[in-house]
Amino acid sequence: MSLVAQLIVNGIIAGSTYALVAIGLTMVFGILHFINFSHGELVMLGAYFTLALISIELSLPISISIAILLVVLVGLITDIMVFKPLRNQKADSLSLLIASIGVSIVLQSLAQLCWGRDIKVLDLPPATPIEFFGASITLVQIVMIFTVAATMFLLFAYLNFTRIGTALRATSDNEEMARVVGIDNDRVIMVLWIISSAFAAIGGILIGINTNLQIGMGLLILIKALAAIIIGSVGNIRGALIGGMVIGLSENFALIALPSQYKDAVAFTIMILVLLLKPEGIFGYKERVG
Amino acid sequence: MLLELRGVISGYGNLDILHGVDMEVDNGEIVCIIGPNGAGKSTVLKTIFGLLKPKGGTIFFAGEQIKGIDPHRLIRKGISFVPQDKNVFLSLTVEENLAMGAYTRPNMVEKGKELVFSRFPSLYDRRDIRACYLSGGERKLLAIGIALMLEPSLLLLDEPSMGLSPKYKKALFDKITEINQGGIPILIVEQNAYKALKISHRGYVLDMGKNKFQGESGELLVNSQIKKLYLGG
Ligand SMILES: Nc1ncnc2c1ncn2[C@@H]1O[C@H](COP(=O)(O)OP(=O)(O)OP(=O)(O)O)[C@@H](O)[C@H]1O
Ligand SMILES: [Mg+2]
Repeated sequence: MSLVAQLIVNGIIAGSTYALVAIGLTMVFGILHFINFSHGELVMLGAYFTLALISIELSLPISISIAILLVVLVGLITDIMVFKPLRNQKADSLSLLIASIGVSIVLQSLAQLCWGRDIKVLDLPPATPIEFFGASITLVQIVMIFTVAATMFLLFAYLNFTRIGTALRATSDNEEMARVVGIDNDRVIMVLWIISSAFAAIGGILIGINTNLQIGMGLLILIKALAAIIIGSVGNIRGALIGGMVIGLSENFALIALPSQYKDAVAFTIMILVLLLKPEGIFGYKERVG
Repeated sequence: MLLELRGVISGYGNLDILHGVDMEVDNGEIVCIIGPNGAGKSTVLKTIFGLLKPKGGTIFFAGEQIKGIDPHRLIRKGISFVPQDKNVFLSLTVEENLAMGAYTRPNMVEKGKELVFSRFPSLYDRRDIRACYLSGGERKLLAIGIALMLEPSLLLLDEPSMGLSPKYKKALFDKITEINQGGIPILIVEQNAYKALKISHRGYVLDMGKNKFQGESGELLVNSQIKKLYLGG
């Protein structure tokens, strides 16, 4: 019993970080029609900026806030310097994807210059686990789960109840019609990058708090997020949220039967099963974003 | 003259579709554009609305040259466009769709919705439903509703009756006449040439990207050549 409770707790923690990362990835795809490979590096930078800010003696909340802002800035800069010029040239999805792999490599190299290749850990006060239905969970982890829930709630409120949020869904749904009603595409795309980068940063910070930091950490999380968005139908935000949770929970539950080094294979087994059985994803067709 | 096209040349990329089109719409009028498939009817509307940039000619709206101006600026000048297809946001609710119709003027959302719902009461009952769950007929009304949100001074309609059953078609044409009588001039493209000439004041026959015939709709309806070529006998 306590094992199941522990697996649920661990699964939710992992799943919520995957979901945060997957949401940004799927939103960018919904509007700009490419898989942003450098999204994983935004995750990594979220964690490393926090590390750097803590090391200059800033408090954790302040470090986290500044780190998120910095990652948003990086996200916006990659768009202005790389993706926007390509869009203006009417580049296809493949060119954008390949450009994003380039961006990913550049960001990783820059990070390596700053921080080196060694594994790092965030310098946080030691957390004492508390008992929760037989599972052990730290206070920090509880805060993490609530943070993710609050962040998601804010996003859904923003997308459903504000003018720009609705315009974002409208653009993702029907770009040509968005132009016909006069939606300001540049503004929508800017908001898109802000949300997607901030979510990536939060995901990275959570991973940093929960485990450790590696320069290459972006790739694995990116690939898991990719599996999550395919499970939940590409372009669908709710689908990305659920896809992330499905992967987080199932890879933890797989530990009952499998040694831990097979954990990562579970996400992809599920993804392939979904592709075979329901290629349009669980939330296929109609509902796109929102 | 509210809208005036002179010698408009336009198309897609290097491909010219319109080879010098002339057209006029005056206040109060319904003007129809008819012609065979591929004649360039939709291209005319897209060019007026700035979705395509003309390579030649002039387009005047309310006395001002609007050639090459972007859609969001034309909306502010009072032009609304209902595209031929994919003209609603399928994943948005009816109300959200209408709100997007007033995206450029957020303070007009409430007033616009009131206006659209009073004109199309059936949409009011379905206001919280996503557009993908509407019937084909309701979807057409929604598409027109989106365009009416800002009370335009010129409405461009591209084949609004396409794909509707005869009963729905009649109701839709009645609505279009009503909208026009409410004071909105309309430039309408129609596949159903007979019906289009019936409800409009004047008409243009477009063929191969050029003006072929034009005149009072009543006269075009009885013109023997047009009858033979476009009205099926
Ligand atoms: N996006 C596009 N790119 C290239 N050519 C196009 C495009 N859209 C239309 N065309 C071409 O332009 C020509 C005119 O098209 P248009 O849509 O204006 O015709 P139409 O008179 O509206 O026809 P229909 O009655 O079928 O709607 C056609 O030959 C069509 O193939
Ligand atoms: Mg057409």
